[in-house]
Amino acid sequence: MANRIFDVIEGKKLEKTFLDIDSIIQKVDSSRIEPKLSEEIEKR
Amino acid sequence: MIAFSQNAPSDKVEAMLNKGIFDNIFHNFEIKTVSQINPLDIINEHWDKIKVIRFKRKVKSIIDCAKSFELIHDKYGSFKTLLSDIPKGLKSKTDVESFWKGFNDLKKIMGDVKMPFFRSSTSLLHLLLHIGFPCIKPDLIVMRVAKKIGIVDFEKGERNLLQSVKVIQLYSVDKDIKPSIVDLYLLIYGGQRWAMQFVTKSFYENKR
Repeated sequence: MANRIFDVIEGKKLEKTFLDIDSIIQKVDSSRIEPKLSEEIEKR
Repeated sequence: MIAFSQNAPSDKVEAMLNKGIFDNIFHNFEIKTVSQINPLDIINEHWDKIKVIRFKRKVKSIIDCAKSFELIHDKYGSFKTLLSDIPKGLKSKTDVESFWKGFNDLKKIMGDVKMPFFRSSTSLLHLLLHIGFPCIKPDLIVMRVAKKIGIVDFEKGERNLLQSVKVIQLYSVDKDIKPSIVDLYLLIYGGQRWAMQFVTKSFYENKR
């Protein structure tokens, strides 16, 4: 089952998804409230 | 984790747990002792003190968990043994594959011993996250974001849920950050009520 799912998420789709997550992180970072967010990240 | 599940009010459950009420009623979770308790005895004697957990059947689930842990102990030595093949950190795609091989094996055993709650993928992921394994328990908000960016076609369904976790793990490997941090960003972006505290209000106004 694991291999089948890896096949589905391989290649271009994953590359685009990674760019989308990069963009989400950048957007959140541009409005982050500190030190709150850093503290929560540290906890994790 | 069972006490907090199924929309029990987390602040009230936490307060109850902090008073040591659960520890007292469930004999500090000593497996052998708990597995021999009759759930009705607890419900009849203590329900008023623990009713914040919402459902009486959770008492039976906790006792049944102890029984399942006893079976694991008898058959495999300990629960810890079952975790030994699951990587504690993810440095490569191979680690992610090993995680899922270990997860699937563990899930099968949890099913075999009829472990309440933790034989479901979501709760098992939650348990693994709680004890420090590199995964997430995808919130509905995270699943919405996953659908929006094309990780999955639908927000619901076990296959979609597992696929979201895997993609987040692969992203984590690629960027060398923990999956739980990616999860936090997705929760913030998706507007989860608790996570909204980490960005300015204008973040959500601009997103509209």
